[in-house]
Amino acid sequence: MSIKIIYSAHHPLATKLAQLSHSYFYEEPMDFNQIGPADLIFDLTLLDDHNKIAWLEKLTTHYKVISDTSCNWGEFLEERFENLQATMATAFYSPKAKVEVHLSDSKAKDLKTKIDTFLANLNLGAHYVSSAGHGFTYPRTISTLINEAYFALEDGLATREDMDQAMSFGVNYPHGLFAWSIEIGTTPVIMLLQSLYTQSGDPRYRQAPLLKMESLK
Amino acid sequence: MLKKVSVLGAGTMGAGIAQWFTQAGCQVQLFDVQIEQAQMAIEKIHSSWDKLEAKGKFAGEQVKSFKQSLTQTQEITDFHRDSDLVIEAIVENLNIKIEVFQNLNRHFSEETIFASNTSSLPIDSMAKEFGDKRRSRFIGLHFFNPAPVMKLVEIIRSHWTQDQLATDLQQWFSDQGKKPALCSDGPGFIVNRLARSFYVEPQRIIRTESPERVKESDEILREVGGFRMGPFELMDLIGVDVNLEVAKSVWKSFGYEPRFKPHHIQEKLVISGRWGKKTKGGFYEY
Repeated sequence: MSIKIIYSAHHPLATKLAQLSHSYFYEEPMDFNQIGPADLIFDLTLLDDHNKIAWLEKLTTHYKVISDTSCNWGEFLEERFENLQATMATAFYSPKAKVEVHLSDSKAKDLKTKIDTFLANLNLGAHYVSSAGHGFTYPRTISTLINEAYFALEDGLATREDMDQAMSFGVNYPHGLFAWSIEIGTTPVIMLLQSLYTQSGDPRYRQAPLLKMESLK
Repeated sequence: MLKKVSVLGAGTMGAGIAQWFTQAGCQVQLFDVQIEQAQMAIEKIHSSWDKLEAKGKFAGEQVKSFKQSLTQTQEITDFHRDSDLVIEAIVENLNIKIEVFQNLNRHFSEETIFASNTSSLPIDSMAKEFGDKRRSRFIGLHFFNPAPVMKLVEIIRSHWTQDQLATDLQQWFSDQGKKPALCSDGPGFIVNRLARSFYVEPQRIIRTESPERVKESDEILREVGGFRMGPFELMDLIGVDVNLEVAKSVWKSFGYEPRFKPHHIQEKLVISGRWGKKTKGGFYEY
C-alpha cells in the first residue's frame, strides 16, 4: 500500500510530476487496475468543473484523495465527496514557493505529514488555510489581476513592459503581471476565471479575449 | 533635458517631487499659496538631506549644492519664465487645477512643459483648455509617495502630447534612476487601474468582515502571493475611505463596469467611520 499520484497534461508541474515514482498520467477512461491499491492518491488533474466532478466521482469511489482544486470550487467538492480528504492549489506558481492547502478534517495530523512530504518533493511548502473557497485566495486574486492587465493591454493603455514596470516599482509587486502570467501559465488563470464566471454568473470574471487567445497557443 | 523645474504645491507630494528633482540636479523653485507651508516643506527637505548626509547617502558638498538649488517663490510670477517644466501637486479638483494652469499659461514660455501630478483626473480634461502649442507639451507625471524613494513615475500622454516629448521624458527619468512607465490617458492610469482587484477580490472571497478571515487573507497574500502587504492591512494604511474613493472614481469612469465595482464591506466600513489606522480602526483594530 502506498501513496500514488495522478496528473494531467495541463498541470504546470506535469514535467516534475512525471519524474516522481508512482505517478500516473491522467487519461479517460482511466484504468484503475493499472494504478492498483493505494493508501492515498494525490490528484493533480486540471479539469473544468464538469469533468472534475465526473473524475472525482470515480476516483473517490476507489481511493482516499487529496485533490488540486486550484481551478474549481473546492469547498463544494469537499462537501460532495466524503473521501476527498484535502484540497490544494499547486497549479499556481507562488513567488514564495508555498501552496494553499485545506484539510477537510483539520485534526488529521498524519495527513499533514504526507502532504508536507509530497510538496517538499516538488520544492514547495504548505500554507494551511481555513477554507478551500472557490479557487483559494491567492489563485483567485492573481487571476483577476492578470485578467485586468490583459484588458488594459487590449485598450492600448501601455505596453506589457511599461505595465510590468509600473506594478513592480509603484506597488512593489514581486513580478509585473505579464511576467507573473508567464510564470503561472495562462491556462490555470483562464480555467479559474471560467469556473468563477460559470458558477457565479458574475460578469466581473469575464476573461479578456487576448488572455483567452494566448492560452490557446 | 530638464534643468529648471517649478513645483506648485508644497504638501507631501509637492515637497517630495521638489526634493527628488533637486537631487536629480535641477534648479527647483517651490511655491504654495500658503507661504508658511512652502517654508515648512523646505525646512523638512533640508532636514531630510542632513539625515541622508549623516547616513553617508550624500556627501556634504552635494547637500550644500542641493540646498542652494532649491528655493521658495512668494508668487507664481516669481517662477523662472524659462523653466523647462512646471508641475502641479495641488488639491485633486479639476476646476482649481484648470484655473491654476491658466494662470501659469500666462506666465511661462511656450516651450515650458506643463505637468500634472494628478492620480485620478484625466490629463485631457486639463490639456483641452489650451492652444495647440501648449497642449502638445502638456503631460501627466504621476509620482508615488514618498517621491524621493519610490522609483515609479507614470508618464501620461494626453491626446495632444507630442510622442517625442513623452519618450524623451521617459529616457530622462530613466537616466536619473527612476523607473518610468509610459501610458495613455485612461481612468486610474496603470497602477490604480490594474491594482483594483487586489483590494476587491479578497473582500469577495471572505464575504463578511470576520477579523480571522481578514488576517488570514493578508497572510496568504503575503506568504503565498509574495505581496509586500496584504490588501486589508494596506487599505487600513492608505485609508479605507481614500481607497474607496479611488475605486468609485475608476468604476464610474469605466461606465460602472462590473470588474471595478467596489465591495459592500468597504462601503460599510467607510459609512461607520472605520477608515483604517488614522481612525484607530478599519479592517483591523489599532
